[in-house]
Amino acid sequence: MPSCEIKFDFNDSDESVTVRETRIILLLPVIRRAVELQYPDFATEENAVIEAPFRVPFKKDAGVFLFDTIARYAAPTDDNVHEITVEQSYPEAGPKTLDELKEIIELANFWECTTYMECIGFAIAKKLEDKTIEEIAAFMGVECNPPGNFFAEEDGWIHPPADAFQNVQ
Amino acid sequence: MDASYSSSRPKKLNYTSYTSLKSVLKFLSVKKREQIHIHIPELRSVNALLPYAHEEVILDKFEIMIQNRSYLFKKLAEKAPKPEGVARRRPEYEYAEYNRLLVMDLGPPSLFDMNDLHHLWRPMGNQGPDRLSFGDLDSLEKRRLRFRRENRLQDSSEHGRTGNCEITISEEDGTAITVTKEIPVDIAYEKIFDAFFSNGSRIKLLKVQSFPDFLMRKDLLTLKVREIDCSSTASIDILELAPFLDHSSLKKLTLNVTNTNVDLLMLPLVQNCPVLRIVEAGTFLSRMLKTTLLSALQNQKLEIFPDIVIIESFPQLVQSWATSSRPIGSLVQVGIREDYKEVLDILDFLKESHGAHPAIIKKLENTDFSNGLSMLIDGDLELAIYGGGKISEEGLTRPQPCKWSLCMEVMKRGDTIPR
Repeated sequence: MPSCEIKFDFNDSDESVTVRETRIILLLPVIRRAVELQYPDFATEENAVIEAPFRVPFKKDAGVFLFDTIARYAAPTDDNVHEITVEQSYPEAGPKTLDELKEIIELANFWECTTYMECIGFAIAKKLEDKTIEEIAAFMGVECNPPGNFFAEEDGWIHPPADAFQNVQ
Repeated sequence: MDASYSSSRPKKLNYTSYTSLKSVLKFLSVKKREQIHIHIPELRSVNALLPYAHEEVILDKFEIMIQNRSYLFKKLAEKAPKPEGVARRRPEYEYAEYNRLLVMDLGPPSLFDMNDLHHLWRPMGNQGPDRLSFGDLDSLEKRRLRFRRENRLQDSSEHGRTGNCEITISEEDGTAITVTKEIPVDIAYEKIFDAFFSNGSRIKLLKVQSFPDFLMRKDLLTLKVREIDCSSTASIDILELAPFLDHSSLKKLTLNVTNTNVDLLMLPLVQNCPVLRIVEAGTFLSRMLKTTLLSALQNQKLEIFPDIVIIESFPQLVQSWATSSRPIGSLVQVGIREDYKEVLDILDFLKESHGAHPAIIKKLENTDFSNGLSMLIDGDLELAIYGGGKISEEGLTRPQPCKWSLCMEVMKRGDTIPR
């Protein structure tokens, strides 16, 4: 049975996190490529030990959450996206705050876990549904036009404005 | 309790990666994404890349309803050219002779109005295609391509063509606004359509009341529609809609089957849809024709809201199913509009003539319906026939007044208990 011992140093903790499950590392493309430099047959290697810890510019809680859930979460599909809920499919993500979820999804992006990002994105989207547009803009880190720009008089549309047409490809 | 997002956080730490944006935006509701599109310019390009996922869309010839908002398009008459005033009087001492000569020889001044001349030569307005006759999808596609080619030629020759239309946008809460645009009504409709639909757009329920003309000349895009309800029309629109559909996404289809469109049941799109609802418009089909057509259907589940004839055809349908290979779980539900007694008569007839024997259907053990029959099928299957409750009318544009249903289901041998 494949096994490994890989350490991660997160930027808010002096204590390393050790991952010993190969199947989890295989789900992190960036880490897998790095490990395979030393262990070309990493997927079947027993006791693959990486001495130096990986430095991760994210919080430890985000990393631990990702390690705990990445193997279990399945991304929404076109067929089931109408039916699934965060409570049923991603129960551990429900209690997380938006700040915490953002840390998790950016860590997943850092490690190129695109399928897992869809799961966290789904959880974030459900939380954002109740937010105002200003709060969504703040969460995304972008500017938000004031409501006064809602009616674009020169084109006569109320919504979507004419530039919506120009942007749609 | 979920804390509000802190907007005082330093900007650089607030950065959201492009991939994260896409993962979040694609799961937001259309309404929310629309507001993002309006208020957050920086997210417009990424928002436009992701096809929307609509809950319910109602499509009509001059109206579309998206997310409970209605867009109604009305063509306005061409503006009449403003009446020209009397030709300006010129000083007689300079042009008296010349002016008199022009007027006398060429007639009233209005002939000089270029708008009138242009109007006489204005091409005829675009008219929709003739109603499509029946045919397979290949001939439909050829017709569509020909129509599109012809209209493109017309469009190019009409570069910069003008028109006027009025668009009434009504919200769910009853508020409405009307705007006038100096563009043809078809182009306005297409602009709205393009803003909400692109390749890969998903629609949970699409109700088709009429097929808009502009779609006939539109480049194909693939819509992932989960359920289509064509029952409020003659359902021929499904033919014209088929090229725009991702067939593997379609899970449920409701058709209005009449004498004139019964061939729709042979379309691959109809045959391959897991759940097919047939709503009859009250026109009788011959019993044999109906049984033959229904027997040819391979859908996993059939829901039939019939007139009386289907009840009389049910034994033939049972016989057809008993002698053909159907996967476990295949189900026919026939709505019973009249007394349940007719169901009992059918069940008695099946016992006497088709060798069905009384049985308890295990999965119905908690219901009051106990008039179950079973027929053995080759292999390890059996055909269960039983009276059932009311067929769900959820989503039907015009609910059918069926009180009961008569069901036939392919089960694994052993799922019934002989009585």
